[in-house]
Amino acid sequence: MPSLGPQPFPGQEKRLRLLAFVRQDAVIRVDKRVEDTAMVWPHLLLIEFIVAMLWLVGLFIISALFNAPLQDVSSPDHTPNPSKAPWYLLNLQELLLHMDKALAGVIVPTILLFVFLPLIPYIDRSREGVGRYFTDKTGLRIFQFSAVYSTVLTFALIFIDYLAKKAGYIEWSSDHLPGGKQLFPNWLIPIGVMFGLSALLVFLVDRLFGATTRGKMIALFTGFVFVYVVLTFVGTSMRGPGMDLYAPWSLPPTIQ
Amino acid sequence: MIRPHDETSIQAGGMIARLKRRQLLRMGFLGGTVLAVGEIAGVFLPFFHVNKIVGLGAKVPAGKKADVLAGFKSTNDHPVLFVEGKFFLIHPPGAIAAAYRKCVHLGCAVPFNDAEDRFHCPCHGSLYDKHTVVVLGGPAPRPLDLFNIEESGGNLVVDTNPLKLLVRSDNKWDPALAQVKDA
Amino acid sequence: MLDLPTQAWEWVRRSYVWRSFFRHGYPDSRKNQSLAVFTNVFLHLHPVKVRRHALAIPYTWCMGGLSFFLFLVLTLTGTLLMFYYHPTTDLAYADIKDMETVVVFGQLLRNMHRWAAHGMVITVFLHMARVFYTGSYKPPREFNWVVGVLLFFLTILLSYTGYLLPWDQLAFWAVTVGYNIAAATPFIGNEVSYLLFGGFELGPNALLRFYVLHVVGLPVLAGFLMAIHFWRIRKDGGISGPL
Repeated sequence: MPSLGPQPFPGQEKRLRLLAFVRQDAVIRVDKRVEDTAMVWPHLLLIEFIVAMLWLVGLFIISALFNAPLQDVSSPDHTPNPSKAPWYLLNLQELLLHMDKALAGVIVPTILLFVFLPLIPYIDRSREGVGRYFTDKTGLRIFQFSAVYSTVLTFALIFIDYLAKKAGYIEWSSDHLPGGKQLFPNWLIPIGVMFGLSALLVFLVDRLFGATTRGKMIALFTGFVFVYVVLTFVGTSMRGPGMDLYAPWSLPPTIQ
Repeated sequence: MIRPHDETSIQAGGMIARLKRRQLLRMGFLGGTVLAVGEIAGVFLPFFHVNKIVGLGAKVPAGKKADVLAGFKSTNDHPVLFVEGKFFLIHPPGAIAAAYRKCVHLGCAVPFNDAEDRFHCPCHGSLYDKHTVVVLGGPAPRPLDLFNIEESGGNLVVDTNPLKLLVRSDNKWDPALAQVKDA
Repeated sequence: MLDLPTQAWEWVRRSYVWRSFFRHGYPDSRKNQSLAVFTNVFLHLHPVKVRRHALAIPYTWCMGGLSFFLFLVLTLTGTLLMFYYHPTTDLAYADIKDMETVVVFGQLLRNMHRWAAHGMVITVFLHMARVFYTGSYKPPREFNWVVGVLLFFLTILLSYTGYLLPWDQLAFWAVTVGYNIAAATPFIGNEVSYLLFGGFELGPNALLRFYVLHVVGLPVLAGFLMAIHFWRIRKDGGISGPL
């Protein structure tokens, strides 16, 4: 906007240049005492160097002791039983046994990875508890509660599904339920269980611990982590030939 | 570059004219960028689409019809495996058909079991009939899917495109599926 | 006579050439320590000073740094493996066999690459958990959390594409599971799996595509996102800490 005051002569306007833009968060705060900071060289670099060397040595030792697996050359005619994905995807493969392929393999991971996780900082926008594990004692209790809740429930759901299918639940639902063995067993019930139990978790931490938004996020994220770990564990060490359920200590080897 | 406006340009409505021109330019640049990015993305998709298919997906020749029928006769209708096309030639009543060997349960490769004289999937124990590949037992929800098969000049050609499968919902042989008669 | 090495070292240090490389003296004073970090392209990922609590190992467990360290190890060992590997269905498996039996230190290299890859999936996941539980995604670090989630996704993809390359039974059927999952995408599943794997089944096209993605496409993308990730850590005020 042009100024309405007296106009300066051409060439004599006051020129301003942006030299630097300093934000409070971006610099070490001046009100902190000097003792609160440490020089990167040597303190941080020394730690980084030692940790990197320890891990390198550890990696050498592990690599010298254990060989990477290599089986026979691939043959499309010969399916190993069971054929399993890499362990970090076995959680998805485990999920696949309990609901529709599209739901377990695509929709749920997409929502988790591209909706739930990225949205966390945009839902929980307070600066409460930055820099402290679990924010406070309540947060720690929420974490412990959610960990037990999701571990126990995930195991329980896997066993319930196992027993129900053993008792002929799929055949029963294809005869008696609308939509046959697709709609209810593969879509509505799994979606209901996933949303229902997440909502119940949020409700419970709200009631039991009076959780803030941060507390509810801790509950949901902990649920995600522990469900992920339990599913990975079950998929890795409790699924034998035919993807049947076995105890981890009596898992039969893969039939090649 | 910041230039001081002079009075005349504002009075003459030049300010608005300038803003409009700027907006127009900005929209033009933005639109051009979006268009360019869209075009590049649009070129990438067809680039990654493989047009020449080898093996599964191609039209696989399955030999002379007369030879196949003679083979069936001498081996008591033993299914013939075509590894590269992933199918078995089978001999349902009155026809020659090609069964996709991917188990409809969870996708294992189904072998023919000579001892049991039927198809027996090693993964979950689905059993399929020797002649019509209908389900005889196990968790399979439907018979094995069939490929389209045609006869040209006495030769059999199987279209192994897995997107054009003949999917059967009822567990029996339908004479309408006989694309190539065995006589 | 005995101080000749010292003198020679001093002479090198004072030489015009040395001083054109390093624009500071030995980092034993505050000024030189600052300059050492400030004027070095590798060290300038760091600020000159950090808040003291950021040094506490029980706070970060070094998981982010270790993920980057494993990425570097994987880049190095992977590049070495590339010298003996042909991404074709005829040769891939034999090359890996040769790697284990013929190439000097080949088995060790392959083991390191494999275990470091598994390790990186774990460290990245633990890093994400650490960042979450210390509330380090909170303002002003929201965007960096999103970049981190993408990096986690890329880590999984890198690991998964690498899994196919030995072309053994383990690789083939593990990736087939992924093929079937991709084909189950609603509405566009067949197109997605056809584009990703270059066919209706795992074949030469799939192996080549996974190879190119594994050694070029995904690492470049990951490097790009890592640059943003590290840059933003500094711009958002360094390692998070109590207010």
